[in-house]
Amino acid sequence: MFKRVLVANRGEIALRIMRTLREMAIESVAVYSDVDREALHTCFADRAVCLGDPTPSQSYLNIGAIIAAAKATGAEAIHPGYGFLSENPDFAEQVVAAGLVFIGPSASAMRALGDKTAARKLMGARGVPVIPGMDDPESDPAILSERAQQIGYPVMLKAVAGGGGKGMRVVTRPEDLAEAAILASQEAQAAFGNGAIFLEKVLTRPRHIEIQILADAHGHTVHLFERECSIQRRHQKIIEETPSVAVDAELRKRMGDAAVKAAQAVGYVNAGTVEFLVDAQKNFYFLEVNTRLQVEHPITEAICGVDLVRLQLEVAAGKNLPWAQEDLVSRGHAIECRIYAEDPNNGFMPSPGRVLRAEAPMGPGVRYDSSLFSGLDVPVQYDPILSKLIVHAEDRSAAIARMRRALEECVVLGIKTPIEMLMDIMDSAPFHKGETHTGFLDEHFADWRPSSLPDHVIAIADALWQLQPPQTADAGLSKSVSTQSPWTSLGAWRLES
Amino acid sequence: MSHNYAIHIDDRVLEVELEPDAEPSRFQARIGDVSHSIEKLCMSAERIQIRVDEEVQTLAVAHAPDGLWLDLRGRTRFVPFAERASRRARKGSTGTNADNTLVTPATPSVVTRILVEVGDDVVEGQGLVVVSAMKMEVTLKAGCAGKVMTVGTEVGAKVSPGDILISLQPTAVAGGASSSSASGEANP
Repeated sequence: MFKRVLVANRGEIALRIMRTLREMAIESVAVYSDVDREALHTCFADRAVCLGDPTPSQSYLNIGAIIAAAKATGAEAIHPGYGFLSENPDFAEQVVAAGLVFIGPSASAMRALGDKTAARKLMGARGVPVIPGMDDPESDPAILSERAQQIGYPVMLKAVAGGGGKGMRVVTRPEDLAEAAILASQEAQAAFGNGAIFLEKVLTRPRHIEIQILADAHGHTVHLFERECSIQRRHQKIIEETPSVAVDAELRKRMGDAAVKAAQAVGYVNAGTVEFLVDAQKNFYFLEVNTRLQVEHPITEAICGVDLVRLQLEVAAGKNLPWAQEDLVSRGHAIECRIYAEDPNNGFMPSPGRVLRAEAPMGPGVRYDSSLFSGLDVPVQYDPILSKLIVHAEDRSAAIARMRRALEECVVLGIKTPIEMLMDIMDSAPFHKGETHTGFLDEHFADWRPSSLPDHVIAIADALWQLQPPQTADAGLSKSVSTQSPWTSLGAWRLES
Repeated sequence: MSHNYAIHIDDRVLEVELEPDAEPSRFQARIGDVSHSIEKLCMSAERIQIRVDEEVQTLAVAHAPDGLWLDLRGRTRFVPFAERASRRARKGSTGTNADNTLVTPATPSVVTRILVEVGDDVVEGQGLVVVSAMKMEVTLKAGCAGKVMTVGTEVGAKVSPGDILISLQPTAVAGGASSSSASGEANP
């Protein structure tokens, strides 16, 4: 097993990975930019290397600096987390070329699956159902238009080199297609350096259901069931759960087998996720493969009782998977809510600022993966994910009640977060009924506003605080030290006879 | 003896009169015509627990320089201290000041594109500068028609609310005030 691993990431995921490293007695190396000197991941690691300028390209996307940090600290492997360089095949290649182990799949598997049209073709050829659409990039509006007619409107224009929901455009009317195609291509060029686009059919009210796969380097590939991630805002997931109410044992088996086939098609090793869309008739269609650990991996860990990061390290160190497909069983129901530094009452504008205080929810079946601490100045340079709240319970309704309770306990003061909206989603009838699909927020929460609170309670609490502000912690301590005699604190006692 | 506080909640101001009762943790609170009996159960740096008319209310609290963050049953509100509240209201959140000639970002951001040069004539609503925060780009627009007087930033600069990125000389409109000093309100 590795003795030292560098985590090429930040925030909650870097901390989460380091926790497993510590449990495995593997030394952790953090990298941090100037704005992350006080961050939890920086302080937790056994060693930390400063990358300097917080601009992502200079820091967490700086391949040269990160590999140099690994070599300078004697790290044997690099875990890329999610986002940043995790799906960058050049990074994976350079890590290996530097004599280090990359905790993830090979660069060639990443390349094969990173090109969305190539991935579609690959899957189609293996008999994995794909969304009706184009298998080759196309810029000629006449050809796009013809294909769109064949497939049927509405269609979605997508970037070939894209992913993560970026560079996508829905076209409902044939007359809008030509211009939309030009704009989509320009956006793709700006975002990914590649303006190639293609199109796919838009399914009505589909569910986004993905399958976690894990493969070792000895030819064994398994799936760890599904996650439903239908509740999204602008293609960014905010709530995930497992199992999916729409997936019965038979569909689970078919999707799981398709996912395993997809992984095997490219000789995939380590953890990955195969994403599908499922329509109302329970037809499932391949969407894309994410060649990394996902944000929402904790809900799979909860129902399967596994540590996916530990498994990633073991696979990367050459071990076999510890079980076969038939050994894997899921128990109970798990839900995750993502907490971003965004204000849902202000168009989800980023809400940077200083976190004055953060309180973690606790109790049975509650897991909180968080980068929050009192005094954190939320950096403006990076993705605004602050924390993830995961609950696990015996069944779906117990899990919803648990999430509702935990969200209420989850306190973030100093900046705006969507916690209140998440509570309202947990309370909503459509969520309780499991009527989740990718248009859920648009359909039920498009005009969401925070509930009104009893003004008089807020006003009285505030006024009372100003009239009789609390003693500071230090004043309280010195008071208790001077008045507390050991005899008064002794309590009831008796001698053993 | 009673203590009066003006509490700003969103766009409302509640005048609270607190009158201590005979017992140490008990008060009467008057808001308008309504009187509430209050018992202070807990007042720590992190938590306020009060009984308001027989119902116990528990709030998490954090003290900011300009007000209190309060959380009641998972719902969070910021309540500015009185003298700072009116200043905030005037500053606004649209990125321009009361007379629309100074352009400042609404949140800490990074300047990604500057769309105008000193001397350019702009129309109301025209994009002046693009800033980025947490991967979201926002175009700050001219609040009035005018001429660009100063460009006080550059691409890549980290900027905060209050930093003046662009200043405009408004085009005089028939019958209207044309400069900030005419409005009579001092800018904080």
